[in-house]
Amino acid sequence: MVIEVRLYATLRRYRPSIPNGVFTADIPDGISVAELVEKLEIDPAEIHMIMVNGIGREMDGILADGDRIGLFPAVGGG
Amino acid sequence: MDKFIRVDMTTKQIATLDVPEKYAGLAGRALTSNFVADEVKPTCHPLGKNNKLIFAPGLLSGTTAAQSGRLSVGGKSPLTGTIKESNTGGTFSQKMAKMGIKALVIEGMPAEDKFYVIKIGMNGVVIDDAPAEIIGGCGNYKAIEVLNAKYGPKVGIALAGPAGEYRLPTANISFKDPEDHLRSAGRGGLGALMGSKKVKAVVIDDTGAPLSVPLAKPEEFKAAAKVFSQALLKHPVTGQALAAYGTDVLINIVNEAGGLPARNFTSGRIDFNDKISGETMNATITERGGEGKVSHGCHAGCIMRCSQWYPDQDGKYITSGFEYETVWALGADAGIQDLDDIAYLDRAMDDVGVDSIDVSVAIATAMEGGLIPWGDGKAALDIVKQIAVPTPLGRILGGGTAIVGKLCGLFRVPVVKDQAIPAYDPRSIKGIGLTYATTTMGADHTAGYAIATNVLKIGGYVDPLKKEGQVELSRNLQIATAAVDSTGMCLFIAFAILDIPEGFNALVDMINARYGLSLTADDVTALGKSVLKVERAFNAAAGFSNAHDRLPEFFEYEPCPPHNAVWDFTPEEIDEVYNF
Repeated sequence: MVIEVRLYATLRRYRPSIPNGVFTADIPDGISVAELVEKLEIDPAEIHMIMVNGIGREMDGILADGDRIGLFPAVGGG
Repeated sequence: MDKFIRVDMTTKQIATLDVPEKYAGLAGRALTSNFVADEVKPTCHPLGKNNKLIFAPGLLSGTTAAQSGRLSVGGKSPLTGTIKESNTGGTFSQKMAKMGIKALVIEGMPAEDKFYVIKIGMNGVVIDDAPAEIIGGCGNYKAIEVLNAKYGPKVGIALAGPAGEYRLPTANISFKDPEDHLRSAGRGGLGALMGSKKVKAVVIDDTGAPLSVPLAKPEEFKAAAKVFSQALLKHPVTGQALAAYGTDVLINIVNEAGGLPARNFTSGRIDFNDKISGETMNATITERGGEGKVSHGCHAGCIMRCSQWYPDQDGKYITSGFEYETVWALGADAGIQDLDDIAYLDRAMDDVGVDSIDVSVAIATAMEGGLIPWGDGKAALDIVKQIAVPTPLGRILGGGTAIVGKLCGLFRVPVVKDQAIPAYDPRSIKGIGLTYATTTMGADHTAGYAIATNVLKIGGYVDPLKKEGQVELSRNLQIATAAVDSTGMCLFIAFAILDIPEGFNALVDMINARYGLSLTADDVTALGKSVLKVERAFNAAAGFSNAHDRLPEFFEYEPCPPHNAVWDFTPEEIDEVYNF
């Protein structure tokens, strides 16, 4: 299945060739966020917020075809 | 012995008094709000002779504690008609505290049509005529230069800009920062209150003052201050992220969460987010170099350094304190897709002295109303510059979002108590909606920043799209914020102390060591509650009721994409926020 990954802030350094951090990935059906992160070779300790289709999720969330996955380190503002 | 300075602009009498006993343990917002509640007639006209303006440093201002340089400014708001506390960085708070000035009160109103400068020094207070060249449309950057030349480069300065002189409802009070740039007590039109008193500027010269305030227990203070700084540096947000990306890092997060209000609150997401994001701001500043700085502190003692200097293509300084809320309003809400256009607008708003939230949201409202084209940054800059003249259109824009919306005949006007709703859609992020609705200040995200827990996963997590847990979240954050706003601390310390208990304990320990007290965490909570109750009682006496604690009706029946959420709290549920 194909999903869209969006890396933000410091996580973009994992894909330096993609300045805006947005790319698609073809992944096995039914894998979790944690398994996706492992496939992308991103250190899970750096991920503080996960959003799937704009909804806050955890590492054990199961992904579906067409999902939009936003990954963020700990950041804040206001 | 700390002093209370009162300046009567009717008689030009100056009184330097002992601090009234009832205010002895208060500072910052706790002091400004108690003072306004005690001395300002709740039903007075905000621009009439019975309103009063008060400046007060926080409990820890003037110490070596990190982040302790915030100044609270209070009065009855010309924008909302409620009580108002607006706080700011800059150099003013630390100077006041070191000089032993617990509060500066400006009251009365001159009969003559003439502007003045109040000059405060160790030898007393004088009232000078304002230099002619800074009156009648002179920008704030230039006014700082003129006042520095006249009073010396190291003085602190508070300024009513052109908007304040014209007593526009969005006028801010601008404060000189450590590098002669501008910080703002932005919200609620307190610059109009200052202008109504015919005070163009307050200049403070701490030459001859002690280097630090007295400490009851210096060793304990030093130890607690160290623990506090370490907590700030250890937390990933206050220790690293704020300095790297500034507050504008939120564009991508709030956009991804579907809560970034777009095109006058008709959607919660944009597709040009990366043109205006904190990541892009950081990359642009880094690439352009020159005078640009990715991180910068708004006051001496700031170690989080969330501000920045944003340069033009040639590396020349355009603006600083270039915040998420301003970028959001002009970018997502008004559709201006060029970060340079937004930077010039930010500078122009600082220069004319208006709240960059209310006026930026008013620009989007003006676009919906057909006054200028959607997304047109040049047209927006033109009408902001008209505020300095002021042309009739400049005056209208400086009236703020509520007035522009009303004059354009719109129902979709994002305000609560006439103050513009900032950068988080209350339909998709419900905790912040409760804060907008119920805070004593009119729509204000900082009054109870539920985004921390609804989106950023700081201080736990409460699902932003569900109602469960939001009432308690908004209530507890509003109480904590009222307390933090009384300490002189930057509110961003909350990111660290919500997650790191020893950081919170160190904050209490610092207050105890400064004053020789033995406060506990419960006392801090009690202080926050008492401030909110005093503010709410003032608002009630000014004519505000629970019926004013409501969001604009369109949030109830216009779904917000992508989640298609609506505002679904009942009046009874909203009213529970202040049931404590």
